Amino acid sequence: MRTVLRWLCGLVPLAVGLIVWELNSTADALSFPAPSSWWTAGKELASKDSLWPALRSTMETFLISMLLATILGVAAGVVIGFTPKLERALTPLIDFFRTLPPPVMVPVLTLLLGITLKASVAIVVLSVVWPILLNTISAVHEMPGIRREVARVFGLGRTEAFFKVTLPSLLPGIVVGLRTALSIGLVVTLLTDMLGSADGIGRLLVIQQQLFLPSAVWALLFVIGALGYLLNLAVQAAASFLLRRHPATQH
Amino acid sequence: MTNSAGTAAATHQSAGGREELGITHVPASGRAPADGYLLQEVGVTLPTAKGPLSILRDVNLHVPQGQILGIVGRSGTGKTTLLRVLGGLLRPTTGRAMVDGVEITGPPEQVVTVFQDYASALLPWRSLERNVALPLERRMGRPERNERVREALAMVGLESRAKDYPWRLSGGMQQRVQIARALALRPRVLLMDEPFGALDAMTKATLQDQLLTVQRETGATIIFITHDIEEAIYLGDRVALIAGSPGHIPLEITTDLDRPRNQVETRELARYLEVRHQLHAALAAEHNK
Amino acid sequence: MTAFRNLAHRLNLSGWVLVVMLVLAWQFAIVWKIVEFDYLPKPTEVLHALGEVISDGTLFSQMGHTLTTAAIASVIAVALGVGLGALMGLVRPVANFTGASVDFLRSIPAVSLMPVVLLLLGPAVKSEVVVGVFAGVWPILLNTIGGVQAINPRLHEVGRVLHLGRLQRTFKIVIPSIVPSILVGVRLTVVTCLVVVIIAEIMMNPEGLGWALTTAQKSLRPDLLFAYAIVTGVLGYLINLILVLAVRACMPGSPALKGRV
Repeated sequence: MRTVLRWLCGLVPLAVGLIVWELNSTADALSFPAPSSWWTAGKELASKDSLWPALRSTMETFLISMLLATILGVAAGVVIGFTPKLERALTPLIDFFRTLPPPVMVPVLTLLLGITLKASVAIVVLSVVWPILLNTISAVHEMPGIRREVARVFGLGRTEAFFKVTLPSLLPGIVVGLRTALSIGLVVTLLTDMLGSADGIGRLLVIQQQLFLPSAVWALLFVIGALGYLLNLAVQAAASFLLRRHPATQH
Repeated sequence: MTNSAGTAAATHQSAGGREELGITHVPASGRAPADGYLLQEVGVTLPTAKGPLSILRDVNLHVPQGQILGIVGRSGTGKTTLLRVLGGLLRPTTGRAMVDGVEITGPPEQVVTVFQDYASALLPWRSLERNVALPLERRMGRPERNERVREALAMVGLESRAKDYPWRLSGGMQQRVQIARALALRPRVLLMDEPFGALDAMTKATLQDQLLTVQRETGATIIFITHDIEEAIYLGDRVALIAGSPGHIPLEITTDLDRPRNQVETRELARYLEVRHQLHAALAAEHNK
Repeated sequence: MTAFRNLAHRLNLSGWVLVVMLVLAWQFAIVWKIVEFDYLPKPTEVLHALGEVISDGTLFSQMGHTLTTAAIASVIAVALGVGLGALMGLVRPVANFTGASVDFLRSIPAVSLMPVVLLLLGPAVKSEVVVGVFAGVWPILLNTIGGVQAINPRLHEVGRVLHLGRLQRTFKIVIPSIVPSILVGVRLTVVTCLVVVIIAEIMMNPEGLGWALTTAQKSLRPDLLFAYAIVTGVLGYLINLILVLAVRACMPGSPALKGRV
């Protein structure tokens, strides 16, 4: 109850801003159309059957990519983290890709792979896999060496040791990586959308802009903002579920 | 306790074994006794960035089943390395390490190591009972496992906290959980690396006495490392001094102190003070070499 | 022999050998037609394109544009973020009455703002700066709030015990204890601004590295595209390295700055 109240208090500036905006603008203003007109424009997009398919297509790319990047990043991170020689050999490459601004991947891979769902997924995966990989590697480094000896002393098998000791030890680090990956992933998904793929919500936004429909543009911006906000909440919830048994300092 | 008769018998045996052996002379070579630990001419050399580093050399040690051995020494003398050899976590570079007449190639069954860093050794995401259950999960069914876990937690007096998480416990309690986890396997040997080193003096005294009680009930061999000479004498049937770099064992003393021991009275006995004097003198002599 | 091994270790010889081998493999995979992509250039072609843009000066003018724009956006974002963050961190009601709004605004992906900004301001440097500031302000804001709120209350007591005046306490205790987290925020902000400025250039403004990348893509010049991509990657690496070293130099021994460069 208190948290809900706090949350509502926090929304006050946004609400006040929107109300002031509404009172000082009209529906057909060219730059800042009144928020009420966003609603009309948004409803129209939804009824024309362009909003929901676009949203679905974007979410599809995003979720598939996040899933693949997580599996890839964690698996590679564990292998690299536990193999110091391999890690040293890969350091220059990893350093290059982790500091490469992710949007650079978009034109390069678009040219190489074309504009299909597979290509978008490849682009997003290659952008978000780095934070997951790096955080997994540093989680491996931070894992107390004793943990592996505990598994040996008690005669745990390799698979058993991995799932009962190693993976839970790495989990807090992996979650940190996932959170970073989420925000990069959403940006890159939208960017690939806008620059290529025919049916994502980013594409829809660009089309509305090119048609000079400011109300629709603002409506879509609001939808995308809400999507980002909900995804953030979902990741937070997932993180605290995954780490529900870990000490609070590791959240 | 489900096996009270068994433990009682084991206690008798081990007590008898202790008396018979008296001062143990380490056989440098020859036939291996089939009972307990035997190290012959063990040396360990580890590779480092600056080339190979010799950590232990010519270590000879015999620890009969049921005995409590304290290993004392300054830091950097290879104490932990020695314990890792005993625990099967490290193969000696030279010489032989055997338990019950069998060469050690990996962590032996029935031998359990208790680590100094209890916070890392326990799995923070598992409750106490699930931490203690960890080594049993593949070995036995749920009813038997639950019984063993309950019994092990009771031995260290933590049965009421079974559902709690280790990071909510004090350091002393966490170390007790680690000991309980080791006991749940009903080991013949407990290896302990500075088990109470990170604890305050009062908690330490309580845990020392608890450990002695547990040993009396289970008849397990206990080999522990410490930098605290007093602790080594108070707990041990024997104390081995490890010194030098590479580390070796220049002195072993049988404490000859009666059991059960008492934190106040035992420490006032003439024999206790005599052993303490000898160890301090030997440690100083080794240090000045 | 050991001297050689030490040197090889310090220079990470194995790492660079691997890089060279991969580049060679890339070259010969195309020459011998082991892989066939329509638009995968040979490393030699990329090198040639790179030489071309260096010698005619386009590379440096594009790079200059991107870096200047990112720098302007970073400065504005840091000024805004530190100011607002200090306010929100120090005055509890302000934090309570903004929290959820901040959370909502910062979860709007910067890319989706671009069509809006394009609509409002058109393709211009100020559009780039606006989206750069919008995206870059959050890390510094959150780090400042965190830094201010995390000042150990003990430190205030220390200040009083040592009989420091209010001014001295501010300069000797408050500011030094929030600077580390602000510096970490600055680093994130600069990197974010760079990324977003490049996105803005890809999407709208006809200047800068981002623009060069899309032009190369659209004019089907993979050699040029790869040259620009590699330059951008190296630039990102250098900026990150400089920032980390600068932060470390400012704050020797701060526990917040451990770990990888």
